[in-house]
Amino acid sequence: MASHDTIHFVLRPNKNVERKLIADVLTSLSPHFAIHKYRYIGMGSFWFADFLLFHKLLLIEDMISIERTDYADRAEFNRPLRCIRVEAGDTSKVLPDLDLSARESIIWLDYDSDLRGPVLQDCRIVCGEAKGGSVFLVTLGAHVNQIRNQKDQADRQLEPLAALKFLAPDLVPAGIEPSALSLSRFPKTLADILIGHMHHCTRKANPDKRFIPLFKFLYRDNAPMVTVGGMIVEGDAEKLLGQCRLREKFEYVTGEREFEISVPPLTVKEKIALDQLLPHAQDLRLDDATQKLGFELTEQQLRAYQKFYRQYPLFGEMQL
Amino acid sequence: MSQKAHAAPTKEFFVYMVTRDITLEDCILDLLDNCLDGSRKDLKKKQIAVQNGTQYKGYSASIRLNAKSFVIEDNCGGISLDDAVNYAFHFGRRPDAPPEGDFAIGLYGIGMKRAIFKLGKKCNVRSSTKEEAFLVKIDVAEWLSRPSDWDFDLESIDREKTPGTRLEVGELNEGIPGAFVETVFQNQLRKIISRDYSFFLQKGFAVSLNGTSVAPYAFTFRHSDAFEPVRYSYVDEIGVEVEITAGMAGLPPEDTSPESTEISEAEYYGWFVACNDRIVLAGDKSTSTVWGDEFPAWHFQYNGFMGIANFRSSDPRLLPWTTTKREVDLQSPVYLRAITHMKKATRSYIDYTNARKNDLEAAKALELAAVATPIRDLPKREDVLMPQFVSKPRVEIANISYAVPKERALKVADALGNRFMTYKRIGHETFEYYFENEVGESK
Repeated sequence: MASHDTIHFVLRPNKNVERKLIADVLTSLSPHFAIHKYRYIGMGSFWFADFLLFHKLLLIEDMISIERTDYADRAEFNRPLRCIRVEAGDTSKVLPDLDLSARESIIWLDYDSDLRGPVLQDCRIVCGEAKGGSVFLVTLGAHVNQIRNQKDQADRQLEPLAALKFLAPDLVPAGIEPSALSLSRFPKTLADILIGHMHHCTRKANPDKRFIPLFKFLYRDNAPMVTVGGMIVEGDAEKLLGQCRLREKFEYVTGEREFEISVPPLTVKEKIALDQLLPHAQDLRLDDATQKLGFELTEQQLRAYQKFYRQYPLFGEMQL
Repeated sequence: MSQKAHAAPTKEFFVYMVTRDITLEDCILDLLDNCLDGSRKDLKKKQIAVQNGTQYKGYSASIRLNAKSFVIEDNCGGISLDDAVNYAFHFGRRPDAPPEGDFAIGLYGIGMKRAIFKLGKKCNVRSSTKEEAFLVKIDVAEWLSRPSDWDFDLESIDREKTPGTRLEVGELNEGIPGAFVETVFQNQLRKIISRDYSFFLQKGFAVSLNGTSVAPYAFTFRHSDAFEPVRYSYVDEIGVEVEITAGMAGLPPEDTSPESTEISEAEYYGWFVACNDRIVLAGDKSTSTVWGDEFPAWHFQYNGFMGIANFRSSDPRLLPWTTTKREVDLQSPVYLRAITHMKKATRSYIDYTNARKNDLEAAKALELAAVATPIRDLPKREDVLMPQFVSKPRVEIANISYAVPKERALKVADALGNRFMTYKRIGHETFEYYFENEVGESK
């Protein structure tokens, strides 16, 4: 089932925070990279949340949303800006036609699917063709069920490790621990596999290009998800990227180390109450928060909220 | 007036040109070949013959590679000082060089130098025998700056406890660190070693890559009363022993249409060519072996077939390999004569893939019943035994084929419980479902 059938896109707080974090980092690529002249390629669904954000914040005016043919008309109807073009078709079919080598792009493939979908094939296309200086992100379902109870073409039942090797040939590290395939550790394993694949596809297509990882987010609003991404560099792009000092500015630009986004679900009233204690130079004390709220958050929830209270979304009903 | 045309080689030719002819993976294998030759010499010293068995047990090579350096280290007896001074670092094998030892797999006198130049700018080779030890430090830039002096400095050092050789390359060349840190590169290198050194690994030689040992690829053929692969040897007129093994290694593909999804193990189907047990061509489906020209070209339908032609000689110069050990010398008479044998073995299999269509159900049952058997356990025989199928009194058959959007087909496959099932099976399952529910008879 497509994600827009299950839940309104913007109602997922962690996803929402993630989008803003990424936008913050992309903003910081200026002035070394002329981001406002980039093209944005995404999968905007019917809500185009990322498109609106990137248009407003990054001033991007050339935007393409890839949508499956069955939903393309509806996406076209919902397209909120004149500068967005909806391209109908599967990603693997549409991406090769976008002439990715012609200009720098931000490409964010935000899938409903997991490893069983087109992700590895699409990475090969993007890493192979994207112009140096382009930013490439992938968001993928990270539930371990994708490698449990799987069968191969001959209908043989596959063990989780065999299933992973079947879905991601040559990408699984030798001597991988069985625990790396547990429910809790699989998202990290999957993110490592994706980053390894991006490195390989970039180098294989052109030895002068390199993939420099920036993002490795793990989060869950409902199902566990991962987002990995970075810049494809060629020539002096790597030096320019270094000059942006992203790692110093943003603790969540971690390269190959995972970063968990886990803000708690809060009501409007709770958010307002907590915000009155912020900003705060040290870690907020749990006692102080409890006193203010009248109930207890976990230490982890409080830390996560303090980190991202500025990005935390509020939702309300609208009467039309 | 007669003049001379200069023909002396330049160092740049070896550092920048010869290194282009070989892949990164294959130049690492060249170094591994030296380890194996070392162990074979050591065995010879101990007067142990290398046959089928586990004579290589105890010998090992470890490869470590990362963004900074490449190290290969073995315990295979070490290089003697005399060999090092006179032969090991010489470009090209000297005509007066002593024989590399019986059934050697290194022979051209280029592998180690080419590998060093391909990998990086600084190299230390340290080797110790029971009696003596030396260290050679190579600084490629410094060496290039002395155009007429080709020698490397060699210093005597203290012996190591375990005789062996350690080669370390630092200041890796551009592009090498990027490959070394990749899981994909490491996995593919592991797969190549596992396959190309399978026969040595099976005889006890141990190889590890970044600390994890490499298991040999298990070459097996399906064997039963109905299926017997070819397995025989002959001695070619120049004295090379050729062993041919060929037959059914995997089940023939369920669906022979090329648009069906890739089949696993496909890279292991086709012909393998080995020289002194070291695999040179793997899963070949081209004119380098039997396929094409006046013989049938490789077809998807032949998946499941495997053939191995192993050329053995105590004098490695007689074998049909090239300096990269990744190709065969297609003009070599001993190889051309072997092709005739290889074609004969292949032909029986090709015929079978057509004959089985006469009674597919019976054929599949027999194929499934045949047991995957390692080569050494196969009986010797010169012709392939395959079941024969006479066409049965024919039920008239209707072939149904139709096209639907892939997305819809995948939805059906999902509903049938396996997203990766072949299109052919999707067709069958849905037809049977309709037949059972609407027509109401069972087949």
